Amino acid sequence: MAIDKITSAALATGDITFPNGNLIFGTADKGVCLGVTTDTDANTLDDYEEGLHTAAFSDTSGDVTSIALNSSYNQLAYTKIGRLVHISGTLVISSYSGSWGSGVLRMTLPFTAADLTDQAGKSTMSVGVYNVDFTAGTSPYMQVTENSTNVDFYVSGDNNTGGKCQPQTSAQFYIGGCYIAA
Amino acid sequence: MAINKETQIGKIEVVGKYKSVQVRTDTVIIEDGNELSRKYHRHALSPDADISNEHAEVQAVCNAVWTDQVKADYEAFKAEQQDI
Repeated sequence: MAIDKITSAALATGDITFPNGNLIFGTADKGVCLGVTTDTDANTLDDYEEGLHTAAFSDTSGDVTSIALNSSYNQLAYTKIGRLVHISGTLVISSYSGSWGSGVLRMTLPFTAADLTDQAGKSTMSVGVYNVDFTAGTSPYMQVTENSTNVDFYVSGDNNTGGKCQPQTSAQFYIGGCYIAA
Repeated sequence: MAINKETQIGKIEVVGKYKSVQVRTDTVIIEDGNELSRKYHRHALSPDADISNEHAEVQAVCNAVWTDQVKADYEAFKAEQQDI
């Protein structure tokens, strides 16, 4: 006979202990409802994954026609917990072709960014840089656009003087941050 | 004792308004038929992506969901983003 529900009466102590094994769901996308007594999507932790993403750079304007990353420094680690994705890593440019114009530096992401109300899915991540020219201002940051599989690099500035990060050969990026996945 | 390393397409997911295709590639180490380890690699593709080097299964999914309308909508979305 299959057990379709375990009630508090069946669990005298109220706790469940697995002596030697993991909790594995028989159906994908099922999870654990936390902090509630009913099945509610917004309270369900239904995904966890960790792995690597091979990053790629491009120029949004196309003036720089190719940007090659050093193959020893082109991997980002990702961890996805529920809808939250964290990425981290070090990337180093080995060469590029063309000259920077009006475009911004763009990098690929492991998961598509969410589309939420009032652009709530838009987020920023931090980046440290070396050998990168700022067109204006200071404090580089990465901006994730909703519905996008990419993140763009900008520079904060006084009033409306923010600018772009325009990397040179051997430019280094030290990346870390979170965004919400679709 | 035979140890093999395999690369598998673990997941292909279509997500979001513009049908982004998310691909999980699994690297699996197998000893005498028993899986010893599995590591994940992820990448995501937008409707304007070059998919010529993607796995045939990934190309098939992309070609199925990236209709002309989806591609046009995504191009309009990109142009809109540049104005913000």
